[in-house]
Amino acid sequence: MHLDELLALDLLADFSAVLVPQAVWAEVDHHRPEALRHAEVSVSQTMVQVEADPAVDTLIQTLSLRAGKQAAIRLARQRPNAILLTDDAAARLAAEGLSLSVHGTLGILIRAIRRGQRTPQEVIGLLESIPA
Amino acid sequence: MGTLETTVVQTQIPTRLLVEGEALVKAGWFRDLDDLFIEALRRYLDAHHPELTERFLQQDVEWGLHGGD
Repeated sequence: MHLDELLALDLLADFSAVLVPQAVWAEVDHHRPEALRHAEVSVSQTMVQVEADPAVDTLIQTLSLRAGKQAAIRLARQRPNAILLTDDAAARLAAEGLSLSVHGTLGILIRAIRRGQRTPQEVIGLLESIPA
Repeated sequence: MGTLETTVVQTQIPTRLLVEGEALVKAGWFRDLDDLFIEALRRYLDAHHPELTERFLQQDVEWGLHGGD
């Protein structure tokens, strides 16, 4: 949602797929529905199988992760080559504990320079537009 | 958030710390050792949130600049 607020959702266009757990989809659809229907980004609502996973269950409880974050962690756990995108510190901590690849909005913005999607000046402009 | 299933986690901690923790439980500060450990972790996260955020931002910058994708 932060990328959409920055009008930078297109930076996800070069990922083969953007999988959004159903619990997260519902939240985004409520607050920023246009983010789920971007013309350049392949966004898919994804059902997450809740499998017995003691490590995940422990981290979810210990870090008090809510439904959306739980689903995102479980989905990333089931997709070894996926990158979990989140700015939530607790979710990132859980992801680290599970050795998942996890990055946030800043990573996507900086990556845009490396991938030729934005110039450094454009990314600086986006960063400066983020409310303090 | 609802009722979550619990999971047993094995860990090694200094005996001295365990003795101190058990004393707190016995004195009634915590329901049991599980309660103490969970509270300790939550307090650590609350106290170190800025440090965690800075570390995550640094990781993001590093990946953004030099990531292999």
